[in-house]
This record gives sequence, C-alpha cells and structure tokens, in this order.
Amino acid sequence: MNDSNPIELILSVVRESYPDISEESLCDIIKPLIPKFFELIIEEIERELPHSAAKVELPSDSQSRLTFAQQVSHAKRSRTQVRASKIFEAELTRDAIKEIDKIRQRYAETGDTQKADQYAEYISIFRGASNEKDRIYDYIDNDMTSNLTYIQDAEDRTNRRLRGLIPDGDK
Amino acid sequence: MEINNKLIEYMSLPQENTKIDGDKLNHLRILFDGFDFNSFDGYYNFIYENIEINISINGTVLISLVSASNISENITMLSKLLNKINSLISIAYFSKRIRIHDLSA
Repeated sequence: MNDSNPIELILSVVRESYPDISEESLCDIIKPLIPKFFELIIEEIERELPHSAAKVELPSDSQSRLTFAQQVSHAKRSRTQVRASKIFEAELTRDAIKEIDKIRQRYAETGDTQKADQYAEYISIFRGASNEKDRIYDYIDNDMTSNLTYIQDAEDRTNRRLRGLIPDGDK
Repeated sequence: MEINNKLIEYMSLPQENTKIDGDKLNHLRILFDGFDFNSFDGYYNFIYENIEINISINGTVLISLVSASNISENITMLSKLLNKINSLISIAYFSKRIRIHDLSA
C-alpha cells in the first residue's frame, strides 16, 4: 500500500474498521463521499488562498513598466549592435578587396599573370568568407527581430513617417 | 490571421569613406526629428517604431524596416530615403544592397 496516496489511506482506514467488507461494498461507501471530499478541498483552498496570495510579492505597476522598458531597450541595443557589425563587415570587405586588387593590378601590368591570378583567387576567397559572416549576422538579426510583436498601428505610423521624410518632388 | 512579416534591409556603401560629423550629423538629426537617437563606437542610430537607420561615421547607411505591407512600395520608399540621406552627407558614388528576410518562417 502506498501511504502517501490519500485515497489509499482512506480505504485502509475503512478496511480496518470493517475487516470483512468486500471491495464492492467498500466502493459503495466511498462513492457518495467523493463530492464531499472535493467540497472540503475547495473550502481548504479558499481558506488558505488569501494567506498565500498575501505572501506573493507582485511587482508594482511602475516596476513592471520599468522592466518592460529595460527589456525593449536591451533588444533594440542588441539589434543595433548586430547591424553595426554588418556595416563594419561591408566596409572592411570593400577596403580589403580594394587593397588586394591594387596588388593584383600591379602584377597584371608587369605581365606576371600567374601572380595576378593568384591574387584574384585571394579576392574570391575573402569575398566568400565575408558572405558567410554576413549570413551569420543575418541569422542573428532575423532571430532577434522576429521576436518583435507585430503591431499594425506601428506599421501605419512608420509608413506615414517614411513618406514624410521623402522630398515632395520624389513622391 | 497569419501575418507575413518581412525584414527589409537596405544598405548603401560609399565608394570612398567620408567623415560624418558636425554639420552633417546636425542635418541628419533635423531630418530624423522625433526618432530615438543614440550613438556608440562610430555609429549613429535613429529608431522609430518599425524602422531603424544605422549610419557609420564613414558614411555607410543601413536602413532596416519590419513590414507586412507591399514590399515593392516599401523598397521604393527606402531607396528614395537612402538617396536623400546620401545627398545630405555629400556621398555621390555608392553601391546598394537589398536583402529581404521572411520573419514569419
């Protein structure tokens, strides 16, 4: 018998009081009592609930707003940092390729095609590595941005604002 | 209702680095009046609702827009805005890159 099971415990008490009782009769005794058990449980919960609730420390309204503002600010900062990394990567790739290409051109002008081809290959390897890095940034950016809650009103306001930024002649 | 949310990313990379400071930054701040502004480590960031504009001190501009509406219309608007920004910071020659990511997937 599992003593920690309250139903088993009740059954064992009944069995002790009526040692000759059959399983069927036992069920007949217990069945009408089940709604009463539930009633008692609910009464107990209702009695204890105010005390338990009083012990729970709920954040105040201003605390909740502050926490939300901090989370939003953190999310924005993280996305901004990823986008700054994308810009840095694009600028770095442009500058590096420009420099490697200057060397390639010098070899090409002096007729050393083997060296020129080798540098062309370096450019292609560098570009490939940079694209791979870009894809990783995109993945992180999408992941963070997709957590934003979509709000139609916000989109309408953004579009109105965008139109306001464009010169009248270009609209 | 399923919303087909997209992240549109539009970047312009100047052929030569320029320097964004003083007057140029003031022009940008006037243009983006009402946007949240912050700067860190050589990047200026303007944020308003679903749009974020990041500009490096060297003149590279990245506009990111979260949108579920007409993509081609949005791209046209972003292209015009990019041209406007580049004209403010005196960048004549630049390459453009557009990427569209599906956020609903």
